[in-house]
Amino acid sequence: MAADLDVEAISEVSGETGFARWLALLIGAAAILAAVLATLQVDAGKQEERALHMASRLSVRVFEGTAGGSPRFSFQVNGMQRALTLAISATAAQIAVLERPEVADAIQARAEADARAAERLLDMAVSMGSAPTASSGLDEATRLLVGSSPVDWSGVAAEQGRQVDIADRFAERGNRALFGLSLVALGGVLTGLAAVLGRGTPGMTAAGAASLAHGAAALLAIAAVLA
Amino acid sequence: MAEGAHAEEAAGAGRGLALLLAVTAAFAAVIGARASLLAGEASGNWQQAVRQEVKAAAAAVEDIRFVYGDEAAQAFRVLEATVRAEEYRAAAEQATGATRDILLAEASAQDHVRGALLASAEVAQDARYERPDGTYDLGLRLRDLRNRFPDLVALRPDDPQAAGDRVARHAINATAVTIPLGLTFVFGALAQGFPGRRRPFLAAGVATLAAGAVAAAVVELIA
Repeated sequence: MAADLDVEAISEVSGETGFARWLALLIGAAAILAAVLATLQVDAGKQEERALHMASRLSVRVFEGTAGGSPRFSFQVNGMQRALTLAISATAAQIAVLERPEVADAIQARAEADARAAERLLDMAVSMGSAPTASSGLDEATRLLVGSSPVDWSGVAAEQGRQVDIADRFAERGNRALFGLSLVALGGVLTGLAAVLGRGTPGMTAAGAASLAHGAAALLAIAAVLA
Repeated sequence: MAEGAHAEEAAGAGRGLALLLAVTAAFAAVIGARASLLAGEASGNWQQAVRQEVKAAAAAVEDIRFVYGDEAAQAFRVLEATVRAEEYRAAAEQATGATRDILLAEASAQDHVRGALLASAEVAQDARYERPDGTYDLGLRLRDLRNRFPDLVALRPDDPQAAGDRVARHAINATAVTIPLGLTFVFGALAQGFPGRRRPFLAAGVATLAAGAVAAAVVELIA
Protein backbone atom coordinates (compact mmCIF):
# COMPACT_ATOMS: atom_id res chain seq x y z
CA MET A 1 0.00 0.00 0.00
CA ALA A 2 1.77 3.03 -1.32
CA ALA A 3 1.19 6.28 0.54
CA ASP A 4 2.67 9.78 0.24
CA LEU A 5 3.92 10.60 3.70
CA ASP A 6 4.00 14.31 4.48
CA VAL A 7 6.87 14.36 6.94
CA GLU A 8 6.39 18.06 7.65
CA ALA A 9 2.73 17.57 8.48
CA ILE A 10 3.60 14.77 10.86
CA SER A 11 6.25 16.92 12.46
CA GLU A 12 3.77 19.78 12.74
CA VAL A 13 1.36 17.53 14.56
CA SER A 14 4.09 16.38 16.87
CA GLY A 15 5.14 20.00 17.47
CA GLU A 16 8.69 19.47 16.27
CA THR A 17 8.41 21.88 13.34
CA GLY A 18 7.27 24.69 15.63
CA PHE A 19 10.23 24.09 17.90
CA ALA A 20 12.62 23.98 14.92
CA ARG A 21 11.17 27.25 13.62
CA TRP A 22 11.67 28.82 17.01
CA LEU A 23 15.30 27.75 16.98
CA ALA A 24 15.69 28.99 13.40
CA LEU A 25 14.32 32.39 14.40
CA LEU A 26 16.70 32.49 17.37
CA ILE A 27 19.68 31.77 15.09
CA GLY A 28 18.57 34.45 12.65
CA ALA A 29 18.06 36.94 15.48
CA ALA A 30 21.53 36.15 16.82
CA ALA A 31 23.06 36.80 13.40
CA ILE A 32 21.43 40.17 12.87
CA LEU A 33 21.91 41.26 16.49
CA ALA A 34 25.57 40.32 16.35
CA ALA A 35 26.06 42.35 13.15
CA VAL A 36 24.27 45.41 14.53
CA LEU A 37 25.97 45.27 17.94
CA ALA A 38 29.40 44.70 16.38
CA THR A 39 28.91 47.75 14.17
CA LEU A 40 27.81 49.82 17.17
CA GLN A 41 30.75 48.58 19.20
CA VAL A 42 33.31 49.34 16.47
CA ASP A 43 31.79 52.78 15.90
CA ALA A 44 31.75 53.58 19.63
CA GLY A 45 35.26 52.22 20.10
CA LYS A 46 36.72 54.31 17.31
CA GLN A 47 34.84 57.45 18.34
CA GLU A 48 36.01 57.03 21.93
CA GLU A 49 39.58 56.43 20.82
CA ARG A 50 39.50 59.45 18.52
CA ALA A 51 38.15 61.69 21.28
CA LEU A 52 40.84 60.49 23.69
CA HIS A 53 43.55 61.16 21.13
CA MET A 54 42.10 64.61 20.46
CA ALA A 55 42.00 65.28 24.20
CA SER A 56 45.68 64.29 24.43
CA ARG A 57 46.58 66.54 21.52
CA LEU A 58 44.65 69.45 22.97
CA SER A 59 46.33 68.94 26.37
CA VAL A 60 49.67 69.27 24.59
CA ARG A 61 48.41 72.40 22.83
CA VAL A 62 47.32 74.04 26.07
CA PHE A 63 50.76 73.35 27.53
CA GLU A 64 52.42 74.52 24.32
CA GLY A 65 50.35 77.70 24.28
CA THR A 66 51.07 78.66 27.87
CA ALA A 67 54.73 77.65 27.71
CA GLY A 68 55.26 79.14 24.25
CA GLY A 69 53.57 82.48 24.84
CA SER A 70 55.00 83.29 28.27
CA PRO A 71 58.76 83.73 27.44
CA ARG A 72 58.05 86.67 25.12
CA PHE A 73 55.75 88.26 27.67
CA SER A 74 58.24 87.62 30.50
CA PHE A 75 61.05 89.12 28.43
CA GLN A 76 58.99 92.22 27.72
CA VAL A 77 58.03 92.66 31.38
CA ASN A 78 61.59 92.03 32.60
CA GLY A 79 62.96 94.56 30.09
CA MET A 80 60.43 97.14 31.19
CA GLN A 81 61.27 96.43 34.85
CA ARG A 82 64.97 96.96 34.15
CA ALA A 83 64.20 100.27 32.45
CA LEU A 84 61.93 101.35 35.31
CA THR A 85 64.54 100.33 37.87
CA LEU A 86 67.02 102.59 36.09
CA ALA A 87 64.49 105.42 36.08
CA ILE A 88 63.77 104.93 39.78
CA SER A 89 67.52 104.90 40.53
CA ALA A 90 67.87 108.18 38.64
CA THR A 91 65.05 109.77 40.58
CA ALA A 92 66.41 108.43 43.88
CA ALA A 93 69.86 109.83 43.05
CA GLN A 94 68.35 113.23 42.28
CA ILE A 95 66.62 113.22 45.67
CA ALA A 96 69.66 111.94 47.54
CA VAL A 97 71.97 114.52 46.04
CA LEU A 98 69.96 117.37 47.57
CA GLU A 99 71.87 116.72 50.82
CA ARG A 100 75.25 116.60 49.00
CA PRO A 101 75.57 119.89 47.07
CA GLU A 102 79.31 119.35 46.53
CA VAL A 103 78.63 116.47 44.03
CA ALA A 104 75.24 117.70 42.88
CA ASP A 105 76.24 118.66 39.33
CA ALA A 106 77.81 115.31 38.45
CA ILE A 107 75.11 113.18 40.10
CA GLN A 108 72.34 115.33 38.64
CA ALA A 109 73.79 115.09 35.13
CA ARG A 110 74.23 111.34 35.47
CA ALA A 111 70.69 110.90 36.80
CA GLU A 112 69.22 112.90 33.94
CA ALA A 113 71.17 110.75 31.46
CA ASP A 114 69.91 107.62 33.20
CA ALA A 115 66.33 108.91 33.07
CA ARG A 116 66.61 109.48 29.31
CA ALA A 117 68.21 106.07 28.87
CA ALA A 118 65.40 104.48 30.91
CA GLU A 119 62.82 106.10 28.69
CA ARG A 120 64.50 104.77 25.55
CA LEU A 121 64.97 101.32 27.08
CA LEU A 122 61.32 101.18 28.03
CA ASP A 123 60.35 101.73 24.39
CA MET A 124 62.94 99.18 23.29
CA ALA A 125 61.62 96.53 25.69
CA VAL A 126 58.11 97.05 24.35
CA SER A 127 59.35 96.94 20.76
CA MET A 128 61.52 93.81 21.15
CA GLY A 129 58.89 92.06 23.23
CA SER A 130 56.09 92.64 20.74
CA ALA A 131 54.74 89.60 18.91
CA PRO A 132 56.63 88.93 15.66
CA THR A 133 54.86 90.04 12.50
CA ALA A 134 54.51 88.11 9.25
CA SER A 135 57.37 90.16 7.80
CA SER A 136 59.78 88.33 10.13
CA GLY A 137 59.37 85.27 7.94
CA LEU A 138 58.57 83.14 10.97
CA ASP A 139 56.19 80.25 10.21
CA GLU A 140 52.60 81.03 11.07
CA ALA A 141 52.18 78.37 13.76
CA THR A 142 55.19 79.59 15.74
CA ARG A 143 54.22 83.23 15.18
CA LEU A 144 50.73 82.64 16.60
CA LEU A 145 52.22 80.67 19.47
CA VAL A 146 54.71 83.40 20.42
CA GLY A 147 52.02 86.05 20.17
CA SER A 148 49.45 84.21 22.27
CA SER A 149 48.52 84.74 25.90
CA PRO A 150 47.09 82.18 28.36
CA VAL A 151 43.62 83.67 27.83
CA ASP A 152 43.81 82.70 24.16
CA TRP A 153 44.03 79.03 25.16
CA SER A 154 40.97 78.91 27.41
CA GLY A 155 38.85 77.86 24.42
CA VAL A 156 41.24 75.01 23.67
CA ALA A 157 41.11 73.91 27.30
CA ALA A 158 37.31 73.89 27.12
CA GLU A 159 37.42 71.85 23.92
CA GLN A 160 39.81 69.41 25.61
CA GLY A 161 37.24 68.87 28.35
CA ARG A 162 34.52 68.41 25.75
CA GLN A 163 36.54 65.72 24.00
CA VAL A 164 36.94 63.85 27.29
CA ASP A 165 33.15 64.01 27.75
CA ILE A 166 32.67 62.66 24.21
CA ALA A 167 35.05 59.80 25.01
CA ASP A 168 33.06 59.01 28.16
CA ARG A 169 29.80 58.96 26.23
CA PHE A 170 31.11 56.63 23.54
CA ALA A 171 32.76 54.43 26.16
CA GLU A 172 29.31 53.94 27.68
CA ARG A 173 27.87 53.15 24.26
CA GLY A 174 30.68 50.67 23.61
CA ASN A 175 30.14 48.99 26.97
CA ARG A 176 26.45 48.52 26.27
CA ALA A 177 27.16 47.12 22.80
CA LEU A 178 29.76 44.76 24.21
CA PHE A 179 27.38 43.56 26.91
CA GLY A 180 24.78 43.02 24.19
CA LEU A 181 27.27 40.97 22.16
CA SER A 182 27.97 38.84 25.23
CA LEU A 183 24.26 38.17 25.59
CA VAL A 184 24.01 37.26 21.90
CA ALA A 185 26.85 34.77 22.38
CA LEU A 186 25.07 33.37 25.43
CA GLY A 187 21.82 33.18 23.45
CA GLY A 188 23.63 31.35 20.64
CA VAL A 189 25.00 28.76 23.07
CA LEU A 190 21.58 28.29 24.64
CA THR A 191 20.02 27.89 21.18
CA GLY A 192 22.55 25.18 20.35
CA LEU A 193 21.83 23.53 23.69
CA ALA A 194 18.09 23.63 22.98
CA ALA A 195 18.69 22.00 19.58
CA VAL A 196 20.64 19.19 21.25
CA LEU A 197 18.13 18.70 24.07
CA GLY A 198 15.17 18.64 21.70
CA ARG A 199 11.55 19.50 22.26
CA GLY A 200 11.33 18.54 25.92
CA THR A 201 11.14 20.70 29.00
CA PRO A 202 14.93 21.22 29.18
CA GLY A 203 15.09 22.13 25.48
CA MET A 204 12.15 24.50 25.75
CA THR A 205 13.71 26.08 28.83
CA ALA A 206 17.01 26.59 27.00
CA ALA A 207 15.20 28.07 23.99
CA GLY A 208 13.22 30.35 26.31
CA ALA A 209 16.38 31.53 28.01
CA ALA A 210 17.98 32.12 24.58
CA SER A 211 14.97 34.21 23.59
CA LEU A 212 15.34 36.28 26.75
CA ALA A 213 19.06 36.75 26.09
CA HIS A 214 18.39 37.92 22.54
CA GLY A 215 15.61 40.22 23.74
CA ALA A 216 17.93 41.76 26.31
CA ALA A 217 20.63 42.11 23.64
CA ALA A 218 18.16 43.94 21.39
CA LEU A 219 17.29 46.30 24.26
CA LEU A 220 20.99 46.90 24.86
CA ALA A 221 21.45 47.72 21.17
CA ILE A 222 18.73 50.38 21.52
CA ALA A 223 20.27 51.60 24.78
CA ALA A 224 23.66 51.82 23.08
CA VAL A 225 22.25 53.99 20.31
CA LEU A 226 20.61 56.25 22.88
CA ALA A 227 23.76 56.57 25.01
CA MET B 1 7.30 9.58 -8.33
CA ALA B 2 5.98 12.76 -6.76
CA GLU B 3 7.64 11.84 -3.47
CA GLY B 4 10.98 11.34 -5.25
CA ALA B 5 10.74 14.69 -7.02
CA HIS B 6 9.82 16.35 -3.75
CA ALA B 7 12.82 14.79 -1.98
CA GLU B 8 15.10 15.76 -4.89
CA GLU B 9 13.88 19.36 -4.73
CA ALA B 10 14.29 19.47 -0.96
CA ALA B 11 17.84 18.13 -1.21
CA GLY B 12 18.67 20.75 -3.88
CA ALA B 13 17.28 23.56 -1.79
CA GLY B 14 19.21 22.25 1.21
CA ARG B 15 22.46 22.32 -0.77
CA GLY B 16 21.64 25.83 -1.98
CA LEU B 17 20.99 26.96 1.57
CA ALA B 18 24.25 25.43 2.82
CA LEU B 19 26.16 27.09 -0.01
CA LEU B 20 24.50 30.46 0.67
CA LEU B 21 25.34 30.34 4.37
CA ALA B 22 28.91 29.16 3.73
CA VAL B 23 29.54 31.96 1.23
CA THR B 24 27.99 34.50 3.60
CA ALA B 25 30.11 33.28 6.51
CA ALA B 26 33.28 33.47 4.43
CA PHE B 27 32.34 36.93 3.17
CA ALA B 28 31.59 38.14 6.71
CA ALA B 29 34.95 36.81 7.88
CA VAL B 30 36.76 38.69 5.10
CA ILE B 31 34.83 41.88 5.91
CA GLY B 32 35.59 41.48 9.60
CA ALA B 33 39.29 41.00 8.96
CA ARG B 34 39.35 44.03 6.64
CA ALA B 35 37.54 46.20 9.20
CA SER B 36 39.90 45.07 11.92
CA LEU B 37 42.98 45.98 9.85
CA LEU B 38 41.48 49.36 8.99
CA ALA B 39 40.64 50.04 12.63
CA GLY B 40 44.24 49.28 13.56
CA GLU B 41 45.49 51.60 10.82
CA ALA B 42 43.24 54.40 12.10
CA SER B 43 44.65 53.95 15.62
CA GLY B 44 48.17 54.11 14.23
CA ASN B 45 47.44 57.36 12.40
CA TRP B 46 45.88 58.95 15.48
CA GLN B 47 48.84 57.93 17.62
CA GLN B 48 51.12 59.42 15.00
CA ALA B 49 49.19 62.69 15.26
CA VAL B 50 49.73 62.77 19.04
CA ARG B 51 53.44 61.98 18.59
CA GLN B 52 53.80 64.78 16.06
CA GLU B 53 51.88 67.19 18.27
CA VAL B 54 54.24 66.50 21.19
CA LYS B 55 57.34 66.69 18.99
CA ALA B 56 56.31 69.93 17.29
CA ALA B 57 55.26 71.54 20.57
CA ALA B 58 58.44 70.56 22.40
CA ALA B 59 60.62 71.91 19.57
CA ALA B 60 58.69 75.19 19.28
CA VAL B 61 58.57 75.80 23.03
CA GLU B 62 62.29 75.10 23.42
CA ASP B 63 63.22 77.46 20.54
CA ILE B 64 60.98 80.20 21.90
CA ARG B 65 62.36 79.75 25.41
CA PHE B 66 65.93 79.92 24.11
CA VAL B 67 65.35 83.09 22.05
CA TYR B 68 63.23 85.05 24.52
CA GLY B 69 64.51 83.54 27.76
CA ASP B 70 68.25 83.47 27.04
CA GLU B 71 69.29 85.31 23.92
CA ALA B 72 66.88 88.24 24.08
CA ALA B 73 67.69 88.92 27.72
CA GLN B 74 71.41 89.05 26.95
CA ALA B 75 70.80 91.23 23.87
CA PHE B 76 68.76 93.62 25.99
CA ARG B 77 71.61 93.92 28.50
CA VAL B 78 73.89 94.87 25.60
CA LEU B 79 71.30 97.44 24.52
CA GLU B 80 71.12 98.84 28.03
CA ALA B 81 74.86 99.36 28.18
CA THR B 82 74.84 100.92 24.69
CA VAL B 83 72.01 103.32 25.45
CA ARG B 84 73.45 104.37 28.79
CA ALA B 85 76.87 105.00 27.21
CA GLU B 86 75.20 107.10 24.50
CA GLU B 87 73.25 109.14 27.02
CA TYR B 88 76.32 109.72 29.25
CA ARG B 89 78.29 110.96 26.24
CA ALA B 90 75.43 113.19 25.15
CA ALA B 91 75.28 114.60 28.69
CA ALA B 92 79.09 115.03 28.79
CA GLU B 93 78.91 117.26 25.71
CA GLN B 94 76.74 119.68 27.70
CA ALA B 95 78.95 119.50 30.84
CA THR B 96 82.32 120.82 31.88
CA GLY B 97 85.06 120.02 34.37
CA ALA B 98 84.72 117.14 36.79
CA THR B 99 81.09 116.48 35.78
CA ARG B 100 82.16 115.97 32.17
CA ASP B 101 84.98 113.64 33.24
CA ILE B 102 82.67 111.58 35.43
CA LEU B 103 80.12 111.23 32.63
CA LEU B 104 82.80 110.19 30.12
CA ALA B 105 84.15 107.69 32.65
CA GLU B 106 80.62 106.29 33.10
CA ALA B 107 80.25 106.06 29.33
CA SER B 108 83.57 104.26 29.05
CA ALA B 109 82.51 101.85 31.80
CA GLN B 110 79.30 101.07 29.93
CA ASP B 111 81.36 100.49 26.77
CA HIS B 112 83.36 97.89 28.67
CA VAL B 113 80.17 96.29 29.96
CA ARG B 114 78.82 96.19 26.40
CA GLY B 115 82.06 94.66 25.11
CA ALA B 116 82.02 91.97 27.78
CA LEU B 117 78.39 91.08 27.18
CA LEU B 118 78.63 91.16 23.40
CA ALA B 119 80.87 88.09 23.32
CA SER B 120 77.98 85.98 24.59
CA ALA B 121 75.16 87.79 22.78
CA GLU B 122 74.80 86.15 19.38
CA VAL B 123 71.76 88.23 18.43
CA ALA B 124 73.58 91.50 19.16
CA GLN B 125 76.64 90.40 17.18
CA ASP B 126 74.75 89.76 13.94
CA ALA B 127 73.94 92.90 11.94
CA ARG B 128 71.06 91.09 10.21
CA TYR B 129 69.05 91.27 13.41
CA GLU B 130 69.48 95.03 13.89
CA ARG B 131 66.36 97.10 13.37
CA PRO B 132 66.10 100.78 12.47
CA ASP B 133 64.93 101.67 16.00
CA GLY B 134 68.16 100.23 17.44
CA THR B 135 66.55 97.07 18.79
CA TYR B 136 66.93 93.49 17.54
CA ASP B 137 64.52 91.51 15.39
CA LEU B 138 63.74 88.55 17.64
CA GLY B 139 61.15 87.18 15.19
CA LEU B 140 63.85 86.88 12.54
CA ARG B 141 66.20 85.28 15.06
CA LEU B 142 63.50 82.78 16.03
CA ARG B 143 62.87 82.02 12.36
CA ASP B 144 66.57 81.29 11.81
CA LEU B 145 66.68 79.08 14.86
CA ARG B 146 63.56 77.18 13.87
CA ASN B 147 64.77 76.66 10.32
CA ARG B 148 67.83 74.79 11.53
CA PHE B 149 65.46 71.83 11.78
CA PRO B 150 62.94 72.29 8.97
CA ASP B 151 61.51 68.81 9.53
CA LEU B 152 60.24 69.91 12.92
CA VAL B 153 58.73 73.10 11.51
CA ALA B 154 57.04 71.11 8.74
CA LEU B 155 55.26 68.77 11.19
CA ARG B 156 51.50 68.87 10.62
CA PRO B 157 49.73 66.67 13.20
CA ASP B 158 46.39 67.45 11.56
CA ASP B 159 47.43 65.41 8.50
CA PRO B 160 47.76 62.01 10.25
CA GLN B 161 44.70 62.94 12.30
CA ALA B 162 42.67 63.44 9.12
CA ALA B 163 44.05 60.20 7.67
CA GLY B 164 43.04 58.40 10.88
CA ASP B 165 39.54 59.87 10.71
CA ARG B 166 39.18 58.74 7.11
CA VAL B 167 40.38 55.19 7.78
CA ALA B 168 38.21 54.91 10.91
CA ARG B 169 35.13 55.86 8.89
CA HIS B 170 36.16 53.21 6.38
CA ALA B 171 36.46 50.61 9.16
CA ILE B 172 33.06 51.50 10.61
CA ASN B 173 31.39 51.39 7.19
CA ALA B 174 33.05 48.06 6.44
CA THR B 175 31.73 46.65 9.72
CA ALA B 176 28.24 47.93 8.86
CA VAL B 177 28.35 45.76 5.72
CA THR B 178 27.94 42.78 8.04
CA ILE B 179 24.36 43.94 8.77
CA PRO B 180 22.98 42.83 5.35
CA LEU B 181 25.07 39.68 5.76
CA GLY B 182 23.35 39.16 9.10
CA LEU B 183 20.03 39.43 7.26
CA THR B 184 21.25 36.69 4.91
CA PHE B 185 21.68 34.45 7.95
CA VAL B 186 18.20 35.44 9.13
CA PHE B 187 16.68 34.40 5.79
CA GLY B 188 18.79 31.25 5.75
CA ALA B 189 17.51 30.33 9.19
CA LEU B 190 13.93 31.10 8.12
CA ALA B 191 14.40 28.95 5.00
CA GLN B 192 15.44 26.11 7.25
CA GLY B 193 12.67 26.70 9.76
CA PHE B 194 9.91 27.18 7.18
CA PRO B 195 10.54 24.55 4.49
CA GLY B 196 7.27 25.43 2.78
CA ARG B 197 8.59 28.92 2.01
CA ARG B 198 12.19 27.92 1.47
CA ARG B 199 12.49 29.30 -2.05
CA PRO B 200 11.39 32.90 -1.29
CA PHE B 201 13.54 32.96 1.83
CA LEU B 202 16.50 31.64 -0.13
CA ALA B 203 15.91 34.30 -2.80
CA ALA B 204 15.78 36.98 -0.09
CA GLY B 205 18.99 35.59 1.38
CA VAL B 206 20.73 35.75 -2.00
CA ALA B 207 19.43 39.30 -2.46
CA THR B 208 20.79 40.47 0.93
CA LEU B 209 24.11 38.75 0.20
CA ALA B 210 24.26 40.60 -3.11
CA ALA B 211 23.32 43.83 -1.32
CA GLY B 212 26.16 43.20 1.12
CA ALA B 213 28.58 42.65 -1.75
CA VAL B 214 27.47 45.89 -3.42
CA ALA B 215 27.71 47.74 -0.10
CA ALA B 216 31.23 46.39 0.43
CA ALA B 217 32.23 47.53 -3.05
CA VAL B 218 30.74 50.99 -2.45
CA VAL B 219 32.53 51.26 0.91
CA GLU B 220 35.85 50.43 -0.76
CA LEU B 221 35.25 52.84 -3.61
CA ILE B 222 34.29 55.86 -1.50
CA ALA B 223 37.11 55.29 1.02
